[in-house]
Amino acid sequence: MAGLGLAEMSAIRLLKQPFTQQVKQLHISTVLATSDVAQDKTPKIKSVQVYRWNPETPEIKPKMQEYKVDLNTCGPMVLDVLIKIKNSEDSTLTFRRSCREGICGSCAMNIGGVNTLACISGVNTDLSKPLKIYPLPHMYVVKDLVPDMKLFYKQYASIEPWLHTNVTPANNKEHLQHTYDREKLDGLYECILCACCSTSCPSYWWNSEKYLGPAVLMQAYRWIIDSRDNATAERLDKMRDPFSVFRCHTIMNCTRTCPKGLNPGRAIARIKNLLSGVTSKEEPKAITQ
Amino acid sequence: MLSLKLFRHTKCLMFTAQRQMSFRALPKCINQFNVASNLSNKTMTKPLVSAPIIARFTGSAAVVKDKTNYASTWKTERIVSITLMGLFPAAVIYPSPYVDTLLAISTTLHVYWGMEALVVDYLRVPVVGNLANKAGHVAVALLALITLAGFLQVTYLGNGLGNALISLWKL
Repeated sequence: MAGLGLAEMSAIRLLKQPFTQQVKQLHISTVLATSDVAQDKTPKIKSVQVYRWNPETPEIKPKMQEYKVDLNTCGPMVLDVLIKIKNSEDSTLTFRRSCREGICGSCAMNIGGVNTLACISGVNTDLSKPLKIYPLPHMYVVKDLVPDMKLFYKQYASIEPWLHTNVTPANNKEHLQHTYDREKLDGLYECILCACCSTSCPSYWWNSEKYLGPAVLMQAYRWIIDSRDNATAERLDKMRDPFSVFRCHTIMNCTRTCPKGLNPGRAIARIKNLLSGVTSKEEPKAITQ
Repeated sequence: MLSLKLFRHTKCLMFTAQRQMSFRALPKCINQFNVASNLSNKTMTKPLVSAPIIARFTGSAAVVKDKTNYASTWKTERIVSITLMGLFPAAVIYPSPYVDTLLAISTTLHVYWGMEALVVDYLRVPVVGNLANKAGHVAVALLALITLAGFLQVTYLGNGLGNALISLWKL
């Protein structure tokens, strides 16, 4: 295909693809063409204030640094704005990011007063208001927007988040589970451990060394009610003290802030019910094959 | 390499010894982990990769864990708050010393637990020191006692709590 021009090359590429793909591409090109026409070319300058602190210059106190970003030349999400600043204005700006689609939990930060993931929260296009970005509240800051997650991960490890069982599965391969039992894990297993909920919880702010926090407790509950897990009593016994679970005052900031729409508050309430004997874990349902 | 291995073994032993309530599957799990890390002996990355994982597994999150069982206290708290919802109208509709005494005790308990939670959350030892923390606890207990004494005085020497509520409403 050496002698072909660019237009011919793209035409051939289009013809080679399956029909659905072709339709999609045509759609995209028309959308792009119309949006080019419709787009207003006046720059939309948004002021972005970002928390800055550098561990190498500890004598300089943390401060808010202001950047001006043209929203026309930038993606729609807060993470796009941060990446744009880092690429074109200030390469020293430090933040965590990875998947840019809300599944890794790296870019959890406090945006406009709410803990959320920068990659799935859109920038407010109201240009009169500045966009304020802080690291997750009440965490030790490593640098700029990067919090120290050591304690959080240690607490997660302390609940031993893996299957504890002394039963050898019947088929010697896997522990089967009834769909009824599996449904109980919905709304729990989706947690990505971004720590948005734990760092929004006042109880966790005041007693983070002793209170486990909503994210870790929800995962604890996920393993407590798993029908395949045998260590339910041991798991619960580890949490009977006044702090691990019972520091939860049902403030429900966790549920309100969760970027994945989960409900850690309810999971904690259910742990409390299990601990106080109000409810008990159901027996696993028999699987008929 | 040998020292690292020794370190790991002692760590593992410490780990199992430390925990009185060790999970049934845990030793197995650690064995599996050791087998897995022995397999990776050939690669040079082993110390770098496995060390932080070991540290993570052996690390205990709780600094000093309070061994008291709080579950029953929590259950009592819930029961008291639910009964309070019924006791207030009961005290107004059927004024009697029994209902009044019950109401006095449960309100006092309710207030005491709420204020105690405030002391635990906002007068923490690392922030305000041991003395202020203790003083807070004592103050809350005293306050509860005075509250109870006041309620009982109204019940037995005064008009009764239910009638007091009615006259409060009339104001």
